[in-house]
Amino acid sequence: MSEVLAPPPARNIALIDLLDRLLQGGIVIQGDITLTAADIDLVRLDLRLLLAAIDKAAGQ
Amino acid sequence: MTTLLYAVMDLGTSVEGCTAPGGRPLRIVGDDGLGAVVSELDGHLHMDEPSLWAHEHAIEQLMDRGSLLPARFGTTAQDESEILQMLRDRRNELEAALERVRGAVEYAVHVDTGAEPVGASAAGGGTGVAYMRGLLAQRRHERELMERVESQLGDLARAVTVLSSTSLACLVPRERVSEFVARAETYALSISGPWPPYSFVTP
Repeated sequence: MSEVLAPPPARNIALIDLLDRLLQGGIVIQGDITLTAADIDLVRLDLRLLLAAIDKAAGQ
Repeated sequence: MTTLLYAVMDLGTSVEGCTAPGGRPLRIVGDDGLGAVVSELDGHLHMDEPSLWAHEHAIEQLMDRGSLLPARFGTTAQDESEILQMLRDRRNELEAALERVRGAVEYAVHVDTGAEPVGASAAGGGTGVAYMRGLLAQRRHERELMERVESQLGDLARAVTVLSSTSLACLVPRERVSEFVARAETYALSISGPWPPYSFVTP
């Protein structure tokens, strides 16, 4: 996926696809998810999705 | 200093020239054929949009080198020995997963349900029953669309997984990618990719 600079709404769709994958997919090492919640500035795009991902990460 | 995991790959894969965001070289560690691609990490990861894309692009460099299991963003270990231990402990699972995705890439497929938000239609009637009926109708509609997409693209995918009521992921063998993209266009489906197979790392 390389359409980083694609115009909206294609860019937003790509970003949501990115979040779906980087934050909810992929392999994990049990118990080790290190993120800095203070740096979140994605809320304007899809708060529900992001919060779901954080909940999932925090629960592991 | 922690160790950040990017992907699991065949240990023989050359990752020479591949770099982590910020320019640190990526390296592959492991034993007996199974490898993990890692880099050292100073401080912590930032979960902002540029950092997420930078991480994705690092993994995409690796996609050009061979089949891989991408790691979730922010998957870190204390040090390399912890990564090696993970590879040993989960060897069977990881090897099987790597075989399932070998030679294939992931595409996201979005279904436009064209449905009104349920809350809006229920606001007029104002009853819980009306709301639930609306919700059921919407779910049924989404499921039908999802089945239709699977029937339209499913034969070109090695696997299909539902991510939400309006999106799914297809694992597409590289040799079928052009046909897959053309087919999606024929049916006016919104797709993105190719992605590393994030949605297919577990059975």
